[in-house]
Amino acid sequence: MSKDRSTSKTSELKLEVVEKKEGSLSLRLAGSFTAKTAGAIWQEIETLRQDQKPRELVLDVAALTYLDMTGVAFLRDLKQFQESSKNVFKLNGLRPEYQNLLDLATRRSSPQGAPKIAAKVSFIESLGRSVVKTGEGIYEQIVFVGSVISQIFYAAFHPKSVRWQDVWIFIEKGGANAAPLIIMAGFLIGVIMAFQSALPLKQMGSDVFVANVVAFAVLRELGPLITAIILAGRTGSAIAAEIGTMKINEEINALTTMGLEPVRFLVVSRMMGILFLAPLLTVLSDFFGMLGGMIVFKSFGYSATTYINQITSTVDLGDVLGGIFKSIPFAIAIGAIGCLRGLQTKTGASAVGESTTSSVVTGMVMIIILDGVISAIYYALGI
Amino acid sequence: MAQAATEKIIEVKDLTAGYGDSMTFDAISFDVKKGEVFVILGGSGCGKSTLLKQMIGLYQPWSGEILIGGQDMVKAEGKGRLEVLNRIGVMYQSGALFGSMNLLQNVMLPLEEFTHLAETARRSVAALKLMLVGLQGFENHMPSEISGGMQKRAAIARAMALDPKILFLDEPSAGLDPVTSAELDQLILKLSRGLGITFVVVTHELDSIYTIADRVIMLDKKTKKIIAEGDPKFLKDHCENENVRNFFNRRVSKDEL
Repeated sequence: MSKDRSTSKTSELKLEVVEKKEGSLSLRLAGSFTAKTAGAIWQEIETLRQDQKPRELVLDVAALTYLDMTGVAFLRDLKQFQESSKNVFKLNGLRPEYQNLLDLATRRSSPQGAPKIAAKVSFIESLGRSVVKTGEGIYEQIVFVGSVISQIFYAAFHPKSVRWQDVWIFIEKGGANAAPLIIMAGFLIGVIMAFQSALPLKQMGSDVFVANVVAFAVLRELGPLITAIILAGRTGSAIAAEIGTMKINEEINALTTMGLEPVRFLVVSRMMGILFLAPLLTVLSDFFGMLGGMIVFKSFGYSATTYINQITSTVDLGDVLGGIFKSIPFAIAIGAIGCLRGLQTKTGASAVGESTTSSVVTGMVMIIILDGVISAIYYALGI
Repeated sequence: MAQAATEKIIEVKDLTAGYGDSMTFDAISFDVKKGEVFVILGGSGCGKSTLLKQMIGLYQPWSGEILIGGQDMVKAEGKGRLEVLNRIGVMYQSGALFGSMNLLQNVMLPLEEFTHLAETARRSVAALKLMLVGLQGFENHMPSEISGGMQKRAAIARAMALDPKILFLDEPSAGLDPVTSAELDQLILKLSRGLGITFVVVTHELDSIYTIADRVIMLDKKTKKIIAEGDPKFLKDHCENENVRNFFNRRVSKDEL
């Protein structure tokens, strides 16, 4: 219904070509010229003008009942195009109140036509710029991680300088609330590992070793890794989004002018929190991973005691602690990257989204790199 | 003209609204007439901006009716609501420009979505709107690259993009220098008198109120009612309520503070 009405409104604006001959064009507009009605007719007149290139363009607007600023823009453009090409433009019958608006629109010397678009950058220039930018980014990250670590050491020796209240809130939000997800992921990883390893092991008739495989993989590698990935996706991104929002709301500036160092005020409490959380959540994930493995193991017809015996015979304390220890460098990377990306947030709402994405991406990459380095070190040390 | 001046374009009937349990307005009613500049006044925290947001349909009232051009804003849904929304333009207190678009794109967005204008025409219209608020030459700037006052003006330009019949301005002149602020007042008057646009403005600036306002209403925090309605120049000296007179004569009583 309303569609019909709007189309009938569109037809309210009418264009009549009064005279069209060599060098002169005379047009008459009737009806109401608004943003909604102008579309087709603006285009039509523009085409006419470009085809004819009239020496003299006469536009009769006496029959216009209404003209909004879109109409004013149209008249101004027509006038300016004609006059800039040293042609004549005659506007007949414009009501005085609209004439006022047209004067207002032409009073200030605005740049001709559409505003220009920013100059294009050549490929080589953009390549150079991105190299410099990447270099600056890496430099900034190194400086930031350094300052964070020094602040943490300072906090360790001056525990009163830490806002413990914030630390506990962070631990609740990033740890207690993440526990169900970590339990689920850890448990399923255990189940999956057990099933996957059972297939080749059964072929050799040695499916009792499923327990060894699960324990070894979960404790040394998958437990800490899954925990770190969940922390990066859940907690690291939350840190970046929260600090980023504070940045665009000028809260970071407010902290600075209050004499509170943002790194100490915001970063240290979060780093303390995540450093405390990561090993605990890793233990949780390890435990439920092995539990998942055990359930599958029992379904093969073995007892829980066999499972535990198998595990204790292969895995020693070094494996367990080695896995848990890994979570500490992961936590430093996740927390520091989350905070850094948050503080690097530029202005505008989309900047917060960019920081959050970037914190997760950089966090994941750092986790994988660190994992590789740590595995190599463990191998060399024989842990 | 006389007939147009008496035609009601917005009618608020027995509007009761609030946040949570606390009531902000207790059954207030008023009309805005076509083509007038209508100013909402009141002390801080009395709900001026809330009233504005009720009128543009952002908040649901507890009870009451808000009619815009005869259509119920509260009950409108889907197409009907879009029709009402296309008739109004809103400038928010903080500008609310889209940070990922430059100024020209910000103004062009509604034109792109709701009109059939060609690309060059859209550019031209958008550039004119920006020029009207004194932002020519800043078309390609991002909102974050310009000052707060300029963001405000750009937001007005965007509110005007579709040439709405009603413009809602939430504190338009706050944060502007006196010259720009006066220019803005002149612009409001020109648009109101020339195009017959109705303005609903929330503002504190007394100079601005005397220049632009045809009619004002003043809200009161305690009674949650409208305590004054009419021409500010008349209310200034002749209102029965002392608070209202104090408000309008603030410059005089400033010495006592």
